[in-house]
Amino acid sequence: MPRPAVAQKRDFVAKAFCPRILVVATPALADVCAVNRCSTFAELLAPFGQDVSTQITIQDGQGAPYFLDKLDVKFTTDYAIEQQPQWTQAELDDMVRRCITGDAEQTPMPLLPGGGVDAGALAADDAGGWAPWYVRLRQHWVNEMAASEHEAFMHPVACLLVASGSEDDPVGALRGLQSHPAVRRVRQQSFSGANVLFYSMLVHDGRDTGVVQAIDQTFDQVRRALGQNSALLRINTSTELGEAEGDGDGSRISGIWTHSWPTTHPLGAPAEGPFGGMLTMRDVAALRDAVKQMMVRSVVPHMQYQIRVLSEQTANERRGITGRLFSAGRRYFGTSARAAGAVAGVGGDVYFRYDSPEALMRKLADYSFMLKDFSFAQSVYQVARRDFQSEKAWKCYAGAQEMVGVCRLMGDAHPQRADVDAGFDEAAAMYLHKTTTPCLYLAVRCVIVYYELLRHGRLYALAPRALLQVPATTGALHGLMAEQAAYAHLRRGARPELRRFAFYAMVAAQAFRAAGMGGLARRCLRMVRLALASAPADGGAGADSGLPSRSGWSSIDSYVNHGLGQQCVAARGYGDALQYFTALLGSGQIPEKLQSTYLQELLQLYLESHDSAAAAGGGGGELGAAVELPIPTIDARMARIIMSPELEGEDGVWLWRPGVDDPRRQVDDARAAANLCCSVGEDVAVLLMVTNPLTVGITLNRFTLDCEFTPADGEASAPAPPDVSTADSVILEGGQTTMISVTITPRCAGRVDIRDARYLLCDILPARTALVLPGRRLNDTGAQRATPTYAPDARLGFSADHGFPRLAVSLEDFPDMLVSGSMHRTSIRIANRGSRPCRGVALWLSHPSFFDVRSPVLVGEDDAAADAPGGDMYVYSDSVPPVAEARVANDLRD
Amino acid sequence: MSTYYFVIVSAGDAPLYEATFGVPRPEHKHMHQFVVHAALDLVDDALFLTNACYLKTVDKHGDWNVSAYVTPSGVRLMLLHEARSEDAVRAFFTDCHELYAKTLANPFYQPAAPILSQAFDAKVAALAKRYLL
Repeated sequence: MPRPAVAQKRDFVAKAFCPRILVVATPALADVCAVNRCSTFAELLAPFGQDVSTQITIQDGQGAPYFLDKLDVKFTTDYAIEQQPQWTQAELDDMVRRCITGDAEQTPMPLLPGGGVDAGALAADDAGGWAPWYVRLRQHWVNEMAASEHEAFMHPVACLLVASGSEDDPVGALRGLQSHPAVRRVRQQSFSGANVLFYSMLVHDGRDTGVVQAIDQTFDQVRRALGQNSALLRINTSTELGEAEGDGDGSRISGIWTHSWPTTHPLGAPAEGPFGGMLTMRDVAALRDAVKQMMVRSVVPHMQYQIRVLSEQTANERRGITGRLFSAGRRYFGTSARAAGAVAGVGGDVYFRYDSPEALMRKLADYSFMLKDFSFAQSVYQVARRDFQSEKAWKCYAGAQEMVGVCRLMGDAHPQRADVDAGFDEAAAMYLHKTTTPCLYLAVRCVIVYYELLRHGRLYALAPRALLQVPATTGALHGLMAEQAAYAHLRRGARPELRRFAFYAMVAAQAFRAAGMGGLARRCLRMVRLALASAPADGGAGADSGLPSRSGWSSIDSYVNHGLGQQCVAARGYGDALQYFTALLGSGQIPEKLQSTYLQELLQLYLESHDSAAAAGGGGGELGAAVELPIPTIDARMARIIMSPELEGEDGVWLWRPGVDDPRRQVDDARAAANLCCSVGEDVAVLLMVTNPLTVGITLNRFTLDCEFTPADGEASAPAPPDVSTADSVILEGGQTTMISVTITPRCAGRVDIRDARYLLCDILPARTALVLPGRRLNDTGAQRATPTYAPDARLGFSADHGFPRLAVSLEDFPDMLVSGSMHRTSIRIANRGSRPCRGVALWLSHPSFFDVRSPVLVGEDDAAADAPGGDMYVYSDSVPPVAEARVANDLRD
Repeated sequence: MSTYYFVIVSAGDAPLYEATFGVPRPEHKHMHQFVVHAALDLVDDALFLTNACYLKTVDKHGDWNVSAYVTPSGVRLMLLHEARSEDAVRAFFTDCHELYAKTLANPFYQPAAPILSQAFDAKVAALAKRYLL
């Protein structure tokens, strides 16, 4: 299957401004067209009007010969001067929407996912590769070109009158077609006027076997009656209707129409073949030959004749200094300030009657342009431009201005920057702002044509400015042009301008978002993100493989992440959306006004995801698990673990070595860090400092800790995990820091490590914040020294051991002060709340000689009994000197 | 009074310091950054056209002009402004460059790290008040 023909650059412009021929057919031909799946005879001829191989040498307006290799011609079925379409923004958006076929997001992008520019695609320079919707819109725009009073392009240069050979009086039918309403309008209201060429065609339907012998005689009659501009066409010679496309000739014949379908119907439904069911290859050749003969023998000579006549009548007199003097003389010494031919057109703008010298010059230039005599056309346009300007006919002036620029770029196979006419830019602005009725259609056509010619000359530096002349009020159309402007910056010089590309892609995304085209907007924003991630300083090596944008430009990142997040929500990509919103809230530099909005959107996103999953019968949806959020901020370095928080004093495991003054906290060499140990069933409090980085208040509900429990050796196969308390609701105002306490109670021996804080953000979104501390810096290997590597840290964890009794100690009736010489009895209550017995409890006193310690069973007995060995409690005084300097590590009195 | 957006951009395109003077328009903040960021491409082009550090106005977007100043180390001082007064902008850039050079001389400042000093902030604000506002 051949690739659909898409005209490129210079060819595209030449095809857009090719001659038009009005086709008028008798009703008898409707069946001839219908059996070949064509609605009109013009549609049947349409593919054969492309690239007609003329191969003739003709003369330009000054008599110089030049070779015309090929020419395009378009066939129309109606003609009328109408006001230029005035689209609303919604209509333009709809038009752009129709240009998008398939999934826009799957269309190749110029930037590679890993960063950097796709150099292969950049060198290919194919407009349809990155934005096929632009190619379709471009084609649709020029196809929609309507006839206007200020230019001769859309005015038919000839009328093709077609009659069937089976009619009773073909000559009469053809004569009757000359008074067809459309033909009459051509003769009265077009640049061709009464001089329009009539070309008669007699079609012989191969199915009419009865008239085979008579058709030649009939055609002779036609030729005698209507002259040499007539032809006989024999088609439908196939013996049976070919329905299947599988056979060789049928497929090839149908392919002729299918191949040209994207050009003739860029926004229509795909071609529904097979076409040409009653045609054979001989018929196809006859159709092609008929069009070629019509062009070579009649249309081109007719246009050439017109050019020669008009050139002698008007243009030759007006060129040079003589012409200028003539214009100035008429202006200053004429009877009227305005030329006699100037009248008001359909849109209220000044234009010129078709028989006025100004209009004839425009016709001369347009005909020369259609026959690809660009240099002569340019000289005539320049003369006409001066006249239009002096008459203040701004629409005509803008048209001539546009065509001068087109001619200069079309005339050279390799145009340079110097060939670009300065007035080209002004033409589009003039169409929009100086005409009585803004001609948006013509302005956009001017921009498209200009852009294609700049692409042809690889003059991409001028393209963005030209493209952005399409006003922002056109919505998606403006976005489409901004997208092309972005691509122009990639191709502009030796080095792709990624930063300017990102800017114009952002402009395009804005326009697409406003027009409700989420797919295109998301694609543009993704391109922005990739462009920002490709640092030009290191050639794109620093591309960020992560999903959210993190370029360092806070507002840009926020804008891109928010836009992408919203588009992901619209496309129900909740997982990706969450990443964007998480990055958004974690940026730390969000304007106050937007924080509340972003937070609400994040919560709404979760609710939508949850509802969507519930409707689908799933579990928690894409966001079922708790997500890691940057809000609130929990500083793991400030976390504290406190044993037995309800008791006073300092808890821990201490070792009192004989001969050492003070007991020392027991250190486990294997862990090296803090070695906290508690008994099974003992409460351990974890204090966390939680900060709200936003300026709006948030609520944390069901705040708890996620712990990893490793049972000790010898524990049961299914050890009970520790109990972790939950804080029901914690309210954090904007910027507030508060302390949250969570109690952990181990139920069996083992190691407890705190991993995450878990909570419900605003009672909706299950979230978690990792509590990770780096351990010591490792420097054992070269890699560790080169890249900072840290050992795992054990500070946020503790051990629970069965071997420890759990004592509750309290002092009863302990005096605040004593008078010298007085005695006071006080008692220490020690309760063992653990499951292990406790033996050998010793008191460590700062002033051993100050106290007289007796066992409870001995209180009230005589002193001798008190000294008896085997008591439950004794003062550990072997190694403690009775001096005042001895400190109390476990200061119960405080 | 118009809005000014001043940014110091490292050689690796990361913003080191940002400040807004004049009428605050937070809704335009992302556009300010986008316009200045896009103008960096034009700064790269303009570098080859002159030996001077001050590159004058390198880009325009609507009413906004972007002026640039490039230090010998490749750090770019960018100012987005509406009013066109080249002498004032040049003087502002020159003094800001001096301030930045002093910051670089600080042994506690890591090159290419964001400038968070409040003293720097106050001095830049004073320069803006002196030359721009």
